[in-house]
Amino acid sequence: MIEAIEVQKRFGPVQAVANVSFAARDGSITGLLGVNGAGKTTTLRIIAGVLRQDAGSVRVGGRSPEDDFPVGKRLGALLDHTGLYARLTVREHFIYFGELYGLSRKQIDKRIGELLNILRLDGVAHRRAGELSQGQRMKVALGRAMIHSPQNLLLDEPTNGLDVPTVRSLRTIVTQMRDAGLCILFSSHVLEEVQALCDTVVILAHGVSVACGSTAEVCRQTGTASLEAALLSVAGEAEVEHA
Amino acid sequence: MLKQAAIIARKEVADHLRERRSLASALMHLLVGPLVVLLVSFSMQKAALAGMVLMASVFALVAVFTGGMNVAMDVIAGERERRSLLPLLLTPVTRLTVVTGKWLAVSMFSFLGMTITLLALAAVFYARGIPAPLFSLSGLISWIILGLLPLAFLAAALQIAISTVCRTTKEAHTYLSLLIFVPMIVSMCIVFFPQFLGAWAFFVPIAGQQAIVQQGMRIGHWPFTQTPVLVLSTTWFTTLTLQLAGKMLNRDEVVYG
Repeated sequence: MIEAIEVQKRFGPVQAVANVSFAARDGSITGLLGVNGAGKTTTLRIIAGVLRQDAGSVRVGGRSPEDDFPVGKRLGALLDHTGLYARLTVREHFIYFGELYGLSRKQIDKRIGELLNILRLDGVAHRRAGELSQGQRMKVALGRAMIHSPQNLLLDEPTNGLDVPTVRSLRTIVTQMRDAGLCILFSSHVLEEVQALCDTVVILAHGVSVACGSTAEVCRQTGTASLEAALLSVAGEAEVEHA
Repeated sequence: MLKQAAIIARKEVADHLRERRSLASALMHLLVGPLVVLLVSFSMQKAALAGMVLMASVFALVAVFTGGMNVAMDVIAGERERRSLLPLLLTPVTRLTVVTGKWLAVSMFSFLGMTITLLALAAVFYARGIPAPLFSLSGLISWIILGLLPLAFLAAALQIAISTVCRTTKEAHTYLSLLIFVPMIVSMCIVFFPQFLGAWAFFVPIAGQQAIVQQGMRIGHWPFTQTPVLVLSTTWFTTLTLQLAGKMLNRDEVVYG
């Protein structure tokens, strides 16, 4: 379970996150939806514990990052970019991060076997990351985030720049993880993706969480007929208030 | 903390040993000094050759800063540029541990670089028949352990601290290249103006390492009495620099630019 309560974050003159509140449940996919600059990535970084909020609070699995900084052991995150080491093999990536998460070599080997199977990376386990396709790199980054079997997973626009088969494959993997009981917080500005994947949608506009619930509930809250109309409606209203 | 730092250091060493172009480039820089000493030795009278130890000691100090430079610019500034630093910071490892692990890796490359230069210099001295007790086996071991090894740790810490505040490898390369001039200028000043040398030098890293060589030449053996002070002061500066780098890595603007 991931909870954000009235979170605020400012970078100099820019109020990146003004007031974000929501709860993401276990066994569900929660989508953070918003236009560029809405505060999605900053919110995810605060939840991941790599940024500290100016005000408000965040709880991951019932504990605050301030009490237990960083929250790494209960959380897996794929933020911003794959960020792989070009000269390390897929297997070496998993071993390195497994060791940093404090797993024993036996646990790491077992987990690598599971991840290679889930992510269909068996054939490239001994290839260096620099030699992989964009889709394979994204899967390796996802595997790296899951090496320690976290209960909570943050994914920041994970399908950006991927081709259709890889996007479909990633969606299947994410859905399987949800069915396994994980709490998945997923950010995107692709409406179709959010509609297809997410059980709960949180719409952010100018750093404020302006609507929250299932797609139908968000439409009801905003008095619109579709998620696209809801996004445009709340983003526009927030812009007016912001101005 | 030490276990996690060792994991990070081991990964960095393995990763950078695969970067052959960078290793070849560092090797070329490390062998320039011994080559210069060799060429200059041909143009000197036999009686003046002993003075070449001073020139060699300047190159040895520079080698300490050259050996790990490529690695230092890559392990933090390079990681930021390639966006692989963030996944590392998401792990349950403190920022100081990250810095310490990377510092250990850079220190190892600095030490290797220094050793390569010293061995090449020793080979030149032996081949040219230049009398230099500093380049005997015991002299070299004392010089490395008591003088240059602590300096290698400090050089790596300074390079890591600079790399931490740089956004790109290119930016880090600019500043780290300038850093190499520090040992060059300090040691050359001490060689050319020995009258300014005093007890103060043994409290100041780089100046102390050069001063100790010059004093050793004057008294004919390694000056063991001043060495502990120099080792302590160099270690103190190293610890301070590492703590500073760890604090800088905690700042949002350093991680995200």
